[in-house]
Amino acid sequence: MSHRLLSRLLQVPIVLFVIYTLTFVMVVAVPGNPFQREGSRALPPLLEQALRQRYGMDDNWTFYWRYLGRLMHGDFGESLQYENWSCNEIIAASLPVSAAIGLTAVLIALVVGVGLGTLAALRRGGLVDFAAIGLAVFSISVPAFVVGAALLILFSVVFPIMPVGTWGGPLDLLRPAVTLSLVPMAYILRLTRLSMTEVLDSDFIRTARAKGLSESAVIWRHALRNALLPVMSYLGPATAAAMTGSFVVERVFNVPGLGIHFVNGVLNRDQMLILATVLVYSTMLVTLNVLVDFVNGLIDPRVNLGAPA
Amino acid sequence: MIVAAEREFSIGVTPSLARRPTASAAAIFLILMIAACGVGGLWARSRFAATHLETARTPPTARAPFGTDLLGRCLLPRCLLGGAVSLGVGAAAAAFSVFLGVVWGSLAGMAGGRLDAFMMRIVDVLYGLPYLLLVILFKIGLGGLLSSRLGMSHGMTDAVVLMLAIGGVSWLTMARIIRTQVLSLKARPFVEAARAIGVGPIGIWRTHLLPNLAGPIIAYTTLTIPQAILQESFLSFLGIGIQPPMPSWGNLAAEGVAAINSVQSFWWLLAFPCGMLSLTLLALNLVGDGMQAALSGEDPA
Repeated sequence: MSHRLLSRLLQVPIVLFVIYTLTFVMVVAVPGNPFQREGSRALPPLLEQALRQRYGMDDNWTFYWRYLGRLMHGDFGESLQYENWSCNEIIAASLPVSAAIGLTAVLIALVVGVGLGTLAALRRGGLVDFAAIGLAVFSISVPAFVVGAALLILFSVVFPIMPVGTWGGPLDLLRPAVTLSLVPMAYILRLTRLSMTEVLDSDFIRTARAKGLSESAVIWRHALRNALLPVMSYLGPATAAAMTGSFVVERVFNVPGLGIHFVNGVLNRDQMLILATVLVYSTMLVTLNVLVDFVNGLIDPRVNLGAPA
Repeated sequence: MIVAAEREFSIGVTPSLARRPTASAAAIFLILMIAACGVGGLWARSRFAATHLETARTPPTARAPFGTDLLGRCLLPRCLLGGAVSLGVGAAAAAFSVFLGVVWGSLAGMAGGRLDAFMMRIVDVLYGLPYLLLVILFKIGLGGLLSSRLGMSHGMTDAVVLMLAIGGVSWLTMARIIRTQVLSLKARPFVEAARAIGVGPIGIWRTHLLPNLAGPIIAYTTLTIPQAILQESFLSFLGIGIQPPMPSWGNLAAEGVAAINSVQSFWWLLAFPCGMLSLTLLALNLVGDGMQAALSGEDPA
């Protein structure tokens, strides 16, 4: 068990190296020159040469190795678009924002999803069940920017109690987090409903009921605890997705998160910023996945860590 | 035996889908939407870019049923053509992803042993990567590589590159499903019998495995299509997908969101593209759920 975890952890830097190389190829393949604004006059070749040397980007090969060397020292390089900002400063300013939204979203998804999923399983075929399934299909189908835009109009135009695009108070966190929570909420709801339905039909629940336990004890102590196993293993990917998948939500609500910087980096050909954001995201995601596998192994010994799925 | 399986499949799905009222209603809605966007898109090709600044930002009227946008372009042809673009790219991307997934999963499953383990290890690693990030990188990287070589118009290149990027990243689940199916089918006696009489691996795959794989392929494809459409709209919304002036539901929605302010809401700019997109995705998911339930032999609820 522990040496399997170790080998998974040792794979993390290799995976990150592959991601770095892939991203680098993509970034370099993009047409357009980061040192030249679209539509403006071309820089004199000597000046561009000097600029490239200043950033350690003389040619692709030098850029590749020198940037890798800087990464080893925890230095993500400079943004080519935001003057006087290093990528480290940009990440330090925006990662907490994205993380806060992502974690709040997962929390909302977990509470609402498990709650409604359990209710739906208990009243199978009833009105609650029907409504819960409807909500799940709705949440998976309607794109985040539609929900986000609806929330914007509802609370800023129809009932003008929140401004359209500010960032600062804890209330500003709420709308993006709710929007982002819908998709994981739908999956958690479906998972809970499905596994709860199975567990409720199983023998040990019948035994628990037969020995006279109260309904709440049966559900809380026996059924839910077993039904939550699949939800637990979904929680890792869900957290990762919520923390890395918030580009659209950040754009709708004008949130200064990491996703916006990635998208702007892509649109501005800001090569070091793209590499920096991709690597931050990937590191989070890959580490989280290993961690989740490990935790799942602890909770449920049947999970085989490291074997191909 | 295989003939029996096929017949069971074809007579099984259609009537049980018809017995599900929500799924049937969704399917009818979908057919209407596809027809409207297909025919309307052809009609809109010559009209979607005509600007009339003097009638900019008018709410829906008889002349412009969906209203006009900030440049006075009538929104109805833009929504129809945008729908054709979104649906087309989504469907093509889903088809590409299914193709990749089926080929990869079948190869891994048929090969077995070391090659299988290696191929699935690649899938595992790719699974752990940030999905949307990868699609975006693929899109910009491929766009750079292909834009000069394809010799197509800008709009067409965008669509092809998006299709490749979305399809090229979303085949992983399909590969896993297919591999598992192939592994279990491979151990069945009729495959063994075929091998014993000297049928080659390609023959076994085509005549013995593929008919039995059709069920899971169809079931999962119906859920891949809405995902692909959703991703296209995300990318276009962010300004990375289909580029203006070519409309797609995603970039139309982005224009609508950009126009929100607390003084005046140009609601029609948001409502029509977002409504068409959301209803289409809802219908696709309902049909997909119904199809899956029908294939797994569940009683209609």
